[in-house]
Amino acid sequence: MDVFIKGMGNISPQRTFDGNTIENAFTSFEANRLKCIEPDYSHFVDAKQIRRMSRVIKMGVASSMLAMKDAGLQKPEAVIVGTALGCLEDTSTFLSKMVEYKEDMLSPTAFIHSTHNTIASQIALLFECRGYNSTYVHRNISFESALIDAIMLLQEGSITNALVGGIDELTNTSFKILERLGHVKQSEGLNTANLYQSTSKGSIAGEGSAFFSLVNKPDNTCYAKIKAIKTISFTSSDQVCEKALAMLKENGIKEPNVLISAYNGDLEDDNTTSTVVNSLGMQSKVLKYKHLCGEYATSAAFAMWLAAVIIKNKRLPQEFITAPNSEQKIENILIYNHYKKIHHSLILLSSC
Amino acid sequence: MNKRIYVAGAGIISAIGNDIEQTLLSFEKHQSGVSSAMHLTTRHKSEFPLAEVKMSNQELGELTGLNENLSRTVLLSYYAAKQAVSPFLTDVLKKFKIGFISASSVGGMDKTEFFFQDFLKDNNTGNLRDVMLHDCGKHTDFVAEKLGINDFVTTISTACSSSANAIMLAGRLIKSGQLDIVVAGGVDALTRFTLNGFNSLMIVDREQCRPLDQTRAGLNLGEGAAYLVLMSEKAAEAFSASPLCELTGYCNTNDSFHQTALSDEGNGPYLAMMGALKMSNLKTSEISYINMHGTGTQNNDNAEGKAVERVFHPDYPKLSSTKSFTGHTLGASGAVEAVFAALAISKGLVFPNFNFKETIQDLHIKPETSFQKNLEINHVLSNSFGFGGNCTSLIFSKA
Repeated sequence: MDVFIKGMGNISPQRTFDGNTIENAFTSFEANRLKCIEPDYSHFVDAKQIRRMSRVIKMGVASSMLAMKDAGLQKPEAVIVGTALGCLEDTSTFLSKMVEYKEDMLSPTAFIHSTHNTIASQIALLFECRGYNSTYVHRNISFESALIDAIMLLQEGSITNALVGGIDELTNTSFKILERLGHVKQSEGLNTANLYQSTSKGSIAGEGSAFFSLVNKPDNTCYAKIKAIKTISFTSSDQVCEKALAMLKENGIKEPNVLISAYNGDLEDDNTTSTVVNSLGMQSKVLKYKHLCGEYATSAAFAMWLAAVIIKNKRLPQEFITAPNSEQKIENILIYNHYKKIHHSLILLSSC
Repeated sequence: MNKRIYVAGAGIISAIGNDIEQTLLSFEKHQSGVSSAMHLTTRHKSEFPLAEVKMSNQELGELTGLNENLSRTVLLSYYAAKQAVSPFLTDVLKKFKIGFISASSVGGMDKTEFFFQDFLKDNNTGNLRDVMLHDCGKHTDFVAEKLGINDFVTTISTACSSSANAIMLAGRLIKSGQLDIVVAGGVDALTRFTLNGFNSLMIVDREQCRPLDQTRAGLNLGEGAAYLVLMSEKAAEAFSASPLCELTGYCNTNDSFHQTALSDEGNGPYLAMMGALKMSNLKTSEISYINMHGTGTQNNDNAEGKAVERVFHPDYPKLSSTKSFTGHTLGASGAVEAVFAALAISKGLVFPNFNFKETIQDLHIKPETSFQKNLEINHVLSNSFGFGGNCTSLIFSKA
């Protein structure tokens, strides 16, 4: 049984929160750290609640509300969140105070909001949703795990809609650690527009929160159909390629119109991506997205948002138009993501 | 579509033993694992008893053959998962699609704490090797790769119901035919972060905890890891495994009331138990034993007790909280108690509730206080409820 994307809400380093459209041109940045462009949260929750929420919770709550509103649905029947690192800001706040005050006289506030499931539970509180609720925290396939769960729930037939999202925040602490690990490029002379021409190590650090309202029955407002999703772990590029071809075959697609892929400007990561893309023979179909949102564990959620918008519009955003694709109607998109070769993921979307 | 989900194997390490045999012996001798802290470095050492695994990281390293500088979470997880999988590491395994689903509430926080001490003084210091172990998915990847499992790997973190959800997901993936065999469970190691966190909420007991008792004053923190090996009918047949039990019911709900407290009426717990009963097609009178979440906090035991009354009143099955033996192992507790449920069915046991004297005012819940053998245990309900309102109930039945 296919599952359909009925509503979306995306808070990202691009101005995506005020509409699921590709008419607004994307912005490029001269930075190695991208920060979300956030809405005025007072439009979503009352001031008293906002004060108690950390940034990542605000982003999660607001993007889930945007997705529900966009879908025209009152209440999610299930809430499933994928977040690799969860509520980092509150975690470091509590850790810092614990060290600073030598384990004494600690306020519980940061601890309460430090658990990974805080985002999903705040969403459940807000919508008064007593249904299924879960949080996946598996590195760069956290969002994909949440999506697999949501699709399975809808297929089990106990619910008709599910809210699923991928969210991770970048904090000063986590950025510093990424820098020290060599996962981020030097900011000097870096422009996101030229990210893929770079030959150095590392990528640009990003963050974001993209939520989707999924339904089991399509209507004419739906963006796209999720045909298939698969995660592939600890394996070779050949295996990934094999699984991708099998997925396309199973779904009767000879070749997708677009391949949204994992390129992030890191030499080694991009070599892995190229190996897969080349053995699929889909070099001419490639659309790169990480210069828009940066590299973070749940960026596949941003990629799925982009794919769904493109499919609904049946054409590419202006900045991606290259000769071979410009005439073509876009009806299906394969998303291929990986990070450091550990886990790979494939998501196949097509028009409703 | 597979109809049945068999529990073919189990592995466990907690304060009351490094394997199933030791665990059962501790119950039989009525020996709790809650005692003065030996291994956790904290200023609260003399203040709060803890339910520690009775081994240092060095000893765990020797026992597992792993590097002792890994997170304690990794060491515990690998030890318990290996225990569970060992009987099935044959060529037969290659014929099946296998998954590893683990759960944890704080992952490698034990290492992050040390990293932070240096990092706060100077952002360019702190051992990066430690912080690389921080995320909850790290132990899952490490263990899955070491066990050679790669068809499906993921990690769940829903506070104290984490590993009950891992088991539930495993069951669903087998039922839908996506996987044949899943090793599912969870792990948490004791950390200063969690001890201070729960202490800041003023819900840690300074004595041994008294779950379901009128005089209860909070929880004792524990640590451990536990995994079940779940199999489809086809896989169980191929191994000619004689299953411990079957997973026949599960339900996940959200109490949707408060970030760190359950509603007075126990709405989430009530819905989770009712959903699991409905799925397993059982009448309340058919449940032989309830392993309660029973943390020993005022709020949990009230809300859970209330919810149990709403489901079962006036005829209650035998019930108890085993957290007075194991401490509250947080993200591991759902799996630890699922192993107890499997043992209760396969060996005909009911586990005691330590320190019970006085029924909670306005409730009718009376936990069992002795270890009971040679019983006919057909169906066990196991509850796990967490911060964030995450509630999950599992039902295990005689195979």
